[in-house]
Amino acid sequence: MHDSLIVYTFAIFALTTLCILWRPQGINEAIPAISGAILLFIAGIVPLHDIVYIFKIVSGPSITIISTIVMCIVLESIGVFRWAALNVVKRAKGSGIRLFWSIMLLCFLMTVFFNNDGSILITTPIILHIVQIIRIKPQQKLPYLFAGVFIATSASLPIGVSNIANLIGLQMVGLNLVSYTNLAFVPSMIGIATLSLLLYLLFRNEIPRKIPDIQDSISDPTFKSHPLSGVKKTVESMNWPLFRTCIFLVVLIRGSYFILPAYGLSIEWIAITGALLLIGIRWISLKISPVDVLWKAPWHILVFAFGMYVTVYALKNTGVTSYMMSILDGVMTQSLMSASFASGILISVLSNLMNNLPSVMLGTLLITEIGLDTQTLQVAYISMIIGSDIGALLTPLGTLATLLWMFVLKKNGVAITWSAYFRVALMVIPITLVVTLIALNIWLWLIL
Amino acid sequence: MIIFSLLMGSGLIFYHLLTPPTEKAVAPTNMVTKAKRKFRINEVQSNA
Repeated sequence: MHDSLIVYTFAIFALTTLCILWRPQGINEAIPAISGAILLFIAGIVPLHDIVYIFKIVSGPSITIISTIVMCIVLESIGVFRWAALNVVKRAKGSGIRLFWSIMLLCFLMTVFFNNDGSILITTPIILHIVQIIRIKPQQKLPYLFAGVFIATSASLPIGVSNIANLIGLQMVGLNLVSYTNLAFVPSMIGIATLSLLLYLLFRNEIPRKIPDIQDSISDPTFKSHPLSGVKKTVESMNWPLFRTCIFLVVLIRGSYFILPAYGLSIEWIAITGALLLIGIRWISLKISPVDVLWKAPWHILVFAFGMYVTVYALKNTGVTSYMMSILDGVMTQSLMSASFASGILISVLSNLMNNLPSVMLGTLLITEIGLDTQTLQVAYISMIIGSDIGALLTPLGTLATLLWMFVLKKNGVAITWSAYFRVALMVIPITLVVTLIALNIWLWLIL
Repeated sequence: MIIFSLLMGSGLIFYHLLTPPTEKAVAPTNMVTKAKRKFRINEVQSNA
């Protein structure tokens, strides 16, 4: 390829990534992604047959994630998460430490049953509400906020379906959700447990030992002025059979991802069915038309993922992956362990420089071109996902979820600087990454 | 199947986390209200 075209591709890639992370004038991230893709297509760097191939790869995972977020929107509109803040505080029974672990559990389950971005968008305001209810000092809020973002993002690792970055390359390396989970579940749970423990050790002095018991607050006459005043009335007005049906359906649909594909049904169709079922049930029970869902659904995810992949594919067409391949070839083919550590660390570094989605896309193209045997290829892919879901948390730039988190906090008047974030992340993320990669290798040694 | 069962178990914990303990008090509260109303009716009838 001509040198000027290589420079052009790099410039478009850098500009696209910069605009996605910076978002001038608050523009949607899909706009720079698709603009970059169009410019690369016009220049002939990514030809039409590549575009069709990319669309086929990207459409399924994007539809799955959009459907999951639609389910989240429906559940939020019927008030499923309305009680989470009050409930978690009540269950803490006046213990700040118990509250810390309950918040981590809530964030973990939110990502497992929805996805990491949805989890951040729902749980961050819940955590902010919790720290407001218990009236703690600003410094004491940090343990809860950091625990939320780190656990919500890393929780997309165990079952693979909670993050678009995990899903996109799955088919390319010959994995499905079941085989992915068989390989990744145990090591990633060890990683998440390590991360939780490290966060606890890091923040143990800041976590308040005792927090106000919410029962006291309800009996307190001043509680009327609190945003949660009128609790009892709303509890009674909640449609509990609908609440139960919706949660049961979400869990059942999540479970179906691991059973129905064996009968030839694709994940995106299961996700679409689930979203439609929830919309239909809400329509029948509460007479709420699906129009709000159509407006709120993040349709741009498909455009964003497609545009981003075209931009990364252009880098491949310029020969970047071949160059990287020549550097990594020896390490990747040496042993399963070296392939695993090289992939995990490479994607962690790349993610913190240019976000995890393009990094995983580039990494997947790279490992599929090296010509590794199936087992090494799949292990390298899972290590890359470990790098993308855990290693990428070192800076807020690493994942869109952390950028969203910073944005939500800023909007709510809680300012966490990038250096403050980095100081916390540096203490927990590198250790968690190494522990997870070691756990993966021990797990592989046990099962293979 | 193991993954499916694990997810179902996690679903129960998820439900438990999202459902306020006060929800359990809703049905008895309604029952108490009904019982009180019935008692009042009986009291009115016996007074009559």
